[in-house]
Amino acid sequence: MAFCTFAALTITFNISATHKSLRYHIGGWPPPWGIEYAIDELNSFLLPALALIGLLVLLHCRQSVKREIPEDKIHVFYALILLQMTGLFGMTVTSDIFNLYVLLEIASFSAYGLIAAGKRGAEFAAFRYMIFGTIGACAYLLGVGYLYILTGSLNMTDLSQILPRIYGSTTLLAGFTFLVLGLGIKMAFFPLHIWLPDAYSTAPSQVSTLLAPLFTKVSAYVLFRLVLNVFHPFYSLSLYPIFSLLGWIAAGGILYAGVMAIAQSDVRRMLCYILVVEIGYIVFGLSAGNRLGLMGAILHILNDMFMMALLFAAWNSINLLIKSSKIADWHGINKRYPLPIFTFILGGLAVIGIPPFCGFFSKWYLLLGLIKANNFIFAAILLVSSLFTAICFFRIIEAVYLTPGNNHSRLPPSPRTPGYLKEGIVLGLLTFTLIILGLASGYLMEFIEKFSALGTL
Amino acid sequence: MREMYHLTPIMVFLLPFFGAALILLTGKRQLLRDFWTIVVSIGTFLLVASLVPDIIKNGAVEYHLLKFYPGLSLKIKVDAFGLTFALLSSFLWIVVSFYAIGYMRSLREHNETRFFASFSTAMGGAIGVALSGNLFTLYMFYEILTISTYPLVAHKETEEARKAGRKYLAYLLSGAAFVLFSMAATYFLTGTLDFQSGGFIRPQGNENLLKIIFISFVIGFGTKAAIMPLHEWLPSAMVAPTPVSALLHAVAVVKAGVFCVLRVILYVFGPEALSYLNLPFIFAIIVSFTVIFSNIIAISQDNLKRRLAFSTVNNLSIIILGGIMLSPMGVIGAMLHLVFHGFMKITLFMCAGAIFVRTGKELVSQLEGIGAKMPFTMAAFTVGALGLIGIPPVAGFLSKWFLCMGAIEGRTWGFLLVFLLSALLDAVYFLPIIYEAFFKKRPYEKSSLQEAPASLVVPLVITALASVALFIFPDTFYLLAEEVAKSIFPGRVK
Repeated sequence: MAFCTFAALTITFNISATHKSLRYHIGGWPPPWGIEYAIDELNSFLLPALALIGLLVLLHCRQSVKREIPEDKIHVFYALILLQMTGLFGMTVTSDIFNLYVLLEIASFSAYGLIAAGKRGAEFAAFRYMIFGTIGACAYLLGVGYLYILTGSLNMTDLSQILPRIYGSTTLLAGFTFLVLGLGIKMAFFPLHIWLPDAYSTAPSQVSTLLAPLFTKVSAYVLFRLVLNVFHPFYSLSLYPIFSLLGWIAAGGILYAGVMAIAQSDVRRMLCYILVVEIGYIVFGLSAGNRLGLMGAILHILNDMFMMALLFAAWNSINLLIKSSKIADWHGINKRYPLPIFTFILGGLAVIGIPPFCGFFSKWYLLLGLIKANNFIFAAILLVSSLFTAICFFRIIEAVYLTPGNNHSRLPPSPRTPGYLKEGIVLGLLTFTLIILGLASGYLMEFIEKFSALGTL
Repeated sequence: MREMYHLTPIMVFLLPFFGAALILLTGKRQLLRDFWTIVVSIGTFLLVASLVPDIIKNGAVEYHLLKFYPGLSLKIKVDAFGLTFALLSSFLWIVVSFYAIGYMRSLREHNETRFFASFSTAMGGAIGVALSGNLFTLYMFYEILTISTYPLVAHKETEEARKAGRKYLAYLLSGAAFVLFSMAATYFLTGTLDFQSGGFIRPQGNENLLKIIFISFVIGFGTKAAIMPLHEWLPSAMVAPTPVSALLHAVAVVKAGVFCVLRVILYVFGPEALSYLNLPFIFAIIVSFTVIFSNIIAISQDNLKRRLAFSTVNNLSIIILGGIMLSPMGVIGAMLHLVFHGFMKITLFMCAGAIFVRTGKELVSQLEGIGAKMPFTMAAFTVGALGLIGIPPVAGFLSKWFLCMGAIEGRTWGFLLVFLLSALLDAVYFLPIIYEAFFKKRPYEKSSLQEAPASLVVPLVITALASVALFIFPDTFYLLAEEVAKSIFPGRVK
């Protein structure tokens, strides 16, 4: 993983220096016949983010893997995790929509396996996830099929040149709808999210720490790739009001998931619902349909990866220490384990959108985009849902800092628990990244702005 | 506008946060921790004070710390308006620090490290608000202030305190959401967020949107400034330890709210755009309602701290009313009252705290004869109360004088009446306390001298003396206020 991170970072610097996309033809076959991997402004910064989060999570999770996975299965477990990462990396770099399907399924199947390794109820949740996931994959594949029948091509660049000639076709519209539907399930877009809270809250804790930040975000990235690159933004955003419709659904989803998050007594389930809220924000950006909104949404994909990684990782540490994920059991634990709690709270503040953490900036651009699209209702919903998240996190702040603790004295003091220091360093690094991403958001925005498809808006 | 080449403002920005970190790190060693509190507060004040002569002489300076994206940057602006607030908060911070250390030790409070660290962060937030150069920076420090005050409000960790904390957050975070909306809409309309004397919103274009933006700004910042009907959180927050109440009321939180409202009125919209929208009059009526009504409620409060809380609601709205009258004299009066009210109200709160520490009494009806027992405390209380009513030789007279002049200057006789009526109501609820404290005796109680510890009494005597001294030497603050009025109403100030 360390190697991957380094390689990915090198690529990013290369791209940012030259602003030319990097293309690689697998097996030497030129596109549109062969499979092409391409890295440009849209995915080049996601790649190191993926790698970095993967690396940090793997560094972080050793203790909890030891506790939750049987000794003789650990090697299988790590193999599955690497397979998972392979799928995600592949989804990010591929420039071939069928190859993308394959990689999506690699990532999904390893995810089903990983989730099923969890506590009681995980098998059922994983099974349900698999049914939903397979339906999603089928829908995506159907969409790919439609496109292939219409154009005879699977390469994204190639498609983007052929497709404009047949934009009037209903078949194409059906194909587009299937693609969006399939990705909607994979990225847990309301109301197709129902698999997510169960799956991620019964999975082994390090699995949800890895999947929650990455999987849904990478699917969202794929959606952006389709909307902006394969199809012309004019087609996907303006010709049919698909995304303004989806915007309303997202609005409902944001409010619903926000309320559900408040109603949870288990911290991990609460985080899962917040994840669904964040996906709704990304769709909001699409529904705004202008440059600021889209850029905000792309920035939010990146920011949300790190915010969720920090939250889940901190949760993982705390859960490992006090062996409970219920808010009621978290009372007063600040006295015992100040470090993971503090980072968790900072992550929460980032999600609420307090500057200078990165969460504020993506929300700010989303808000600007929505106002520019004259969509004040969505803007209001965005703000209200920030308040919902604020309620969630301040409930936890109140529990851990301001409520007298119960019987935590039986727990070992923090420095003596194994892995505490290492986990602390990882959490500290993630927190630091949140601030860096916030301060560097201007640079990132300028970088995203160079992405060619945005220029047409 | 001058660019800035020296680092003092940045140090002012960072010092309190640095102090909070030091306090957290040395939390186990009480003396060292308290030492940091004092050192940092004094250091901040000295740094702020060192900026004053230059600003009065040469005008405002600006400094871009970090540009995020066109239109969005971290920007410091040291102008007379912000400096006044920074000077007020950093000076009162020193006083409150001494007082807080004494108070917390006398009552053997728990979690002192968290308390002082939050305190320092909150002061950093307040000073950040004061010296912000654009709405984004302002919003950032505003949020930091809100969040760092929350653990202070809920400090007692009882069910009641937690409830008050929740209420506080519910009000203030909702308010911040309104602010964020207005900020985004402002940016969308104008393409900038940088403050400008006299406003940067042009009186043209979409009138309804501009109105919505202003109303949403006022709702947002108004929650912190406790404009009725958004004041509910403030009396509830009285469960906090007294130094916190003093901080909330006189120094940081509510004053920051008022400061932000004035920033919006004078530096975002400006007199021209506001008159174009026909908003000042309606807003002034709402504020006048708060002025009168809060004072009427204050009369009926028996808990001393709650009575003072409603008096704060009253005075905050007086300051805002002074600003929204949009006359030069009114603005000068508002600026002066912002400062003077800080000194007088902090005196009163520290007195209430000292009485509580010494005798455990919280109700006005228990205060008979307390003047004989705690003469210094009650003398200071008298000075503060007289000042709030507006009786010379306490500074409150001066600010109220300018406010009344402002009302006359704008030919708005109704507001003059509001000021006078409010002063009358002040007298109705303050004078009885003084009377009972000094001229009545409680049967069966010996009236021997039982003054509170020196660390509590000395600060409150200092602020009381300062309130008087500011009546005699108001020059610094007057010059700053005049500078503000000059920059906003060019040509209308002699």
